[in-house]
Amino acid sequence: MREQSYFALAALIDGPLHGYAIIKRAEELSGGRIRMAAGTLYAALDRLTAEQLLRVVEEKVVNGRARRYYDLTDEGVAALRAEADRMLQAARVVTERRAPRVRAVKPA
Amino acid sequence: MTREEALEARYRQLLWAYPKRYRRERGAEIVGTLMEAAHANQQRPTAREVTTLAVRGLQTRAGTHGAPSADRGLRGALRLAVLLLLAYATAGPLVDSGHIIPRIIADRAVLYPVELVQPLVTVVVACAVVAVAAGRYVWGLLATLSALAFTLAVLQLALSYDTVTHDVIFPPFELTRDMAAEEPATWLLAFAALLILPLIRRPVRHTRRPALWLLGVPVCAVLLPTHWNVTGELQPGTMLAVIAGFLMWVAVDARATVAAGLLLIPLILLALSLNGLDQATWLWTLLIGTGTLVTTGAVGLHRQAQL
Repeated sequence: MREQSYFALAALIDGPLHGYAIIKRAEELSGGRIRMAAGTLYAALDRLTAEQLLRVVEEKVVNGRARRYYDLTDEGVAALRAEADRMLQAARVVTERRAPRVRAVKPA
Repeated sequence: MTREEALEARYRQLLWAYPKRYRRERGAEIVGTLMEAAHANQQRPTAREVTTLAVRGLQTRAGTHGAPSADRGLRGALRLAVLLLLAYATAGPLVDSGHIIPRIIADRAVLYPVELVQPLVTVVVACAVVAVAAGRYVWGLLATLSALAFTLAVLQLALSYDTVTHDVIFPPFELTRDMAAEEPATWLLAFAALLILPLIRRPVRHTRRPALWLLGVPVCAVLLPTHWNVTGELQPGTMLAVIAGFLMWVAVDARATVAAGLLLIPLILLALSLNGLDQATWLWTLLIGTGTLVTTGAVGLHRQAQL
């Protein structure tokens, strides 16, 4: 899973959000690393919706602008957890290993 | 018009790259998100917004924004390669027919009867292009093989027909074989027929307007090298431009990049059969071009397949 897709899904863990709110939440969750442009966000939303990991739950007009609210499906929650577990296991390979000792080199 | 309205109008213009239907369904939502994301005093779209909207829009048109599986992407690349090969194979006889037909009309006489087969080859390969674009792969294969047979027949008859005495003397097999190896259409059609086979077994989605692929024929005649040397003065410049263009296109559709790499393979075989080692620069250009296009395209296909 692409990092952008992962954070787009993760942004929806706490409930439905609209496009701009997903961008801001993903940026916040990634510590500012993932700053999705609108074009990239909608490509990710299309991919994730086609894979039935997301669904549109509400459409409304706010301040004269159309908004769609997206939410995770059960498959989306499962896919997000599976990806998180995979990354956790990968991280454990390094974090649960003792740090290599630094050898002192004697001067000749 | 206020600053905000002007910015919104510019964002709407930037959605040109998306298909009309997509713009109708999602345009207002995307523009709304762009406006929310814009800075307080922003006058015009940023370079990043322009680039992203153009690339994503073109990806949506090409149908590659939806993470097609690597297998589907590869079959899509094969289909595009077959279409490019057939369009290029049509370009040769088309140019040849363009020389023959006006002369016959002007002279009101056929000097060389075998030449009349060239317009027929053009029509048959063009039918193969349309058949493959329409997803009729068996018909496409039959038309491709027929065009190959006609091309070989033209060679055989051209070699055996004496234009002075009008006698027919069949040449030795080796001579026909060597002439066939020096004929671009032989390699293009044979390679296209080979690539159609996996598509018959596992077909891919076809185009809604298959005849539009015929527009690729004159483009091939101008941009790619031909046996008839119509673009001699443009080569190898246009060929390098085509390679560079398909390399950049990987951002939109990696299938096309792989397909362009496959298109060069018959040209490598042709160059080798024409003592390619005497034209080492051209041969190396083709080899490096093929390698770069196929590798870049394969990496792009893998990336596009990720969710």
